[in-house]
Amino acid sequence: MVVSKKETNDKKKISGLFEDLALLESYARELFSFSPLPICYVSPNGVILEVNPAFEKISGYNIYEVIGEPIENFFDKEKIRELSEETINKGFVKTKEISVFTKEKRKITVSVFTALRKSKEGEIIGYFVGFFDLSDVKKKEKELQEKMEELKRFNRLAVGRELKMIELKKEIKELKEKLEKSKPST
Amino acid sequence: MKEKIKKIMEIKGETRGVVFKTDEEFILREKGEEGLKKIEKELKKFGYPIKYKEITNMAYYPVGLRILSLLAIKKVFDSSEEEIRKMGADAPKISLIIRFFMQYFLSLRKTLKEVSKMWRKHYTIGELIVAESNEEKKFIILRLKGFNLHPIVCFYLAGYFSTVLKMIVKKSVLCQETKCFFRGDKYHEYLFKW
Repeated sequence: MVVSKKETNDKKKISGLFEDLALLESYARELFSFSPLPICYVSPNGVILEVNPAFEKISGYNIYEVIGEPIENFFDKEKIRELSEETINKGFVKTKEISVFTKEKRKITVSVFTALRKSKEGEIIGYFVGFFDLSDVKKKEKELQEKMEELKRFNRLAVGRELKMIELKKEIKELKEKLEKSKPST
Repeated sequence: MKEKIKKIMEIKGETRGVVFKTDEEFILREKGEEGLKKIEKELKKFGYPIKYKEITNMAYYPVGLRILSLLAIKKVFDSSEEEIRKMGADAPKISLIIRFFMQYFLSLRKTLKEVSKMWRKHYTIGELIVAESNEEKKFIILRLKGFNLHPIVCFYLAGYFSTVLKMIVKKSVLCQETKCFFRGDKYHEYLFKW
């Protein structure tokens, strides 16, 4: 069988294109994996199609347990529905609080951001969901709240004591005056 | 055995590298690097070595290698039919081609329209069509013609198709291969219920 020069060139070109595609693919995958923030990619009908290692870590589920599952299995059902609608209508969502449910049945409060993807024909083809853990922020918020309450209590006590002191001083003054008056004049 | 392998490799047609990449992921997850080495060693014994790490997702490879990869896995790990089916069920979750097709996952009707196209993205031979579908009664029949590779592929595909459908209907899908070329039928048919 004789292979023409054109055929050989075409084969070389195709092979080169496959190599470029493989490079691009590995770049995209590595970038996605690199992100310390949990990210997932969701299909237009709400099924998770991709997650990064940070998502696996925070949720406690592995990739096989997450991909192909409805997104509402991992987030607060009501809020994720609202979030999906808002993303589809607006094209993105910037910071919204929502709960993530882990494999160990823990509830984690996170701040979510989303971005819609469209095909070149303008059709919705999915959306990205990224989030960051608010657990530490929430913990600090709670600690701060407790400190505030403590301070308020202390303040109430201190003010109460101050008022009592004023009252006592007044009483002493009145008693002193009475005593002065009751003394026989010389 | 050598004769069987030779016949397998004579089957005309090509497959995209993605099928080997999903095999690789499965082996690494289930059996680790050692497991992958064992499979590669087995394939070398078959006379058709595959270096899984060197395979690229979108490039084309002889379709016979698809069968050999599954046969090596079955032989080395003594995998049951159910395990091969499970392997097929896990594959779409990490398949690059399925991710490319995700835009069609908006509705069942839309996805079914693209079934043949989706098949063609994986294999240069065979034709996958929707023989019957009823969303109300919650079933689909897929027909696969001209793809008579090996019975092991039938189990694998049953799992594979089930997961793809699950991604669309968002419910667990039961699959039964109701017709099979290797049981004397003209083509393969899969019934899916959810």
